[in-house]
Amino acid sequence: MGMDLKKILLVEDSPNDAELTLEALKTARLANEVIWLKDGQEALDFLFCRDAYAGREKVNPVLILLDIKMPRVDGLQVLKQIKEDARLRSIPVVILTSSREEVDLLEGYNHGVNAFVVKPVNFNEFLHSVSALGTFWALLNEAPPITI
Amino acid sequence: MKIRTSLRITSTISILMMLGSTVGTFFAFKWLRQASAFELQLIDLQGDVFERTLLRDEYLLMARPQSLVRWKQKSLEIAGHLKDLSGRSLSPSSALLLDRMNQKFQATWALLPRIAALRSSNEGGESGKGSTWRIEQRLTNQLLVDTYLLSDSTKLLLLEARRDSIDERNNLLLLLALSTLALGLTVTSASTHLNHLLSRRVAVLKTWTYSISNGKLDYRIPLGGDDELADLAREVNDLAEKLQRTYESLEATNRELEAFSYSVSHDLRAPLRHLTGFVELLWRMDLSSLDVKSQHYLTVISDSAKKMGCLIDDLLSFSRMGRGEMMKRNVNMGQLVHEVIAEHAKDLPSGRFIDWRIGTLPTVVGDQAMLRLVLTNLVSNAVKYSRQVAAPIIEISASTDETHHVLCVRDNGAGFDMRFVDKLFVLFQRLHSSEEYEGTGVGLANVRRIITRHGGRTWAEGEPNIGATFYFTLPQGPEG
Repeated sequence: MGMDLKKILLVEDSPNDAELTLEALKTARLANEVIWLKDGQEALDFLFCRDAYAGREKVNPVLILLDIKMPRVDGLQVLKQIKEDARLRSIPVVILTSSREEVDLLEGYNHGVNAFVVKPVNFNEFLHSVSALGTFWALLNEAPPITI
Repeated sequence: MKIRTSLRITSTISILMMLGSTVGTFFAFKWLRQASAFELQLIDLQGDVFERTLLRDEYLLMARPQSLVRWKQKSLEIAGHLKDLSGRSLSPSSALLLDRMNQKFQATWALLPRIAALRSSNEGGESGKGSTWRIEQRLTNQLLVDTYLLSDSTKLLLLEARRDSIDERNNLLLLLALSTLALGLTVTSASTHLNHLLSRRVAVLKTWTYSISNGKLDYRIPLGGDDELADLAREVNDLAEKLQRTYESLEATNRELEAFSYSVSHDLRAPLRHLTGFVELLWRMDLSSLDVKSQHYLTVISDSAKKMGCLIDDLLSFSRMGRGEMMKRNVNMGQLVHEVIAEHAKDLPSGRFIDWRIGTLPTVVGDQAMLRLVLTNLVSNAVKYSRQVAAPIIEISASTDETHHVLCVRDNGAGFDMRFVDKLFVLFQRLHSSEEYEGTGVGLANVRRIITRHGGRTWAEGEPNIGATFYFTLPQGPEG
């Protein structure tokens, strides 16, 4: 298992948010490759190696950063399917959302999310939060075995 | 049946029974008096018969003419009595006895005068003395027997009359006892009926109304019938129905509002974050090529976006304050004030001194987090608006009225013009520019919303450059 295999999955429908998040991850100086998926459906396709991702490397990401409000399949549904699947269950999932709603928080934790982070409006705080997340989950945290 | 109707029927029955027993008693009493009068008359008669017997014996033994005269008078009196008695309606056995008395009386009526006549005709000579004497003896014997029978019949009739009068008296007593019993039964059954109405039906009404008023709006009182209590139950059920409909439509509105604030929370915040984010990324680039004006524009964009972010966050917290569940428990306001002041003291610039004057504050029932927000808002306002005063004094005290604790936060700061007091507690309304005193105009709106939800009231007094006083009330004792 080489370092190049430790991928971070970013599931985010807004290109602006994706760009800012990628920028923020960059400041954490992580070596991990970040894969950007544009909605929940694409994320599920990737995770379950379907359609466009049928032939991808059979390796799980080290971290999934998941937005909630997305077209087609939303973040909570993705989370539910991940946590219900025996092979995907161990992947750390962090919800990264602009919603402060209690319902989302509760549902997230009920479905077994590993962390729930509200995107701060202030960019410096956002930068700090995202890079801290990346550092913790991709560097400090001992990742689960990653082969499918 | 209506309660009113059944009460009316009950009282009518009672009145009728009382009337009936009065009439019954009247007649029973009348009959008793008649029976007693009859008895007395018979006693009189018996006396006369006895006296007449004595007069007879007197005449037979001593042959005094006076005795005969008096015997005749007595006989007339007895005849009068008997005539009186014959006009009376009597029982068959009494009538038979009276009949016999009449016969025997009639029989004796002529006997003594005949004996007297015999005796006087004997005075003259001895001839035929023996036969006259025998006739006299026979007549005398006849008189003795008939008089005895008359007296005996009189005694028997008197006994019968006495028995009748005792019967009448017993009847009267029985009637009185029965009517008392019947009245008692009527009153008892009426009170049992009322008791059933009041204790069982009212209890049903009370229990279910209590449940409905405690939020079980889908409950309906199961009280049938057509009395006033059933009418009341139907009214309460209608009311519950209306309340339930209103409640459901309110809930629907609330859900819409929640969806709205969710969407505001998510959708409005994202573009703002992009604005600030990309402007920030821009700042990290080499901006030396930009002139001062362009850099100023960037600053304005960035600041405005941040300001708008604060506004949205405040708006959402305001909306949350209105719909979140309240966790009520005892809250020591004195302790809470000290915690809030300690937080503010931490942030005061060095060298700035505030004279805090804290009175004795009550322990109230409420949501601690919400009440903390109330105090934080009022205290931070007091600190903020008195920062240009050389010797700021902030006073927090409490008093009570009949039902509520009244708390007040007073400062000697910028104050406000009482003409605009109505605007103070309104969302996003401010009496000072944000250049002078920063803020979004949500704090006091939140204070009012929280205090209103606790069942209290808020108001303020102020004077420009003298200071402001903010009051709020909280109910005394356990609430809700």
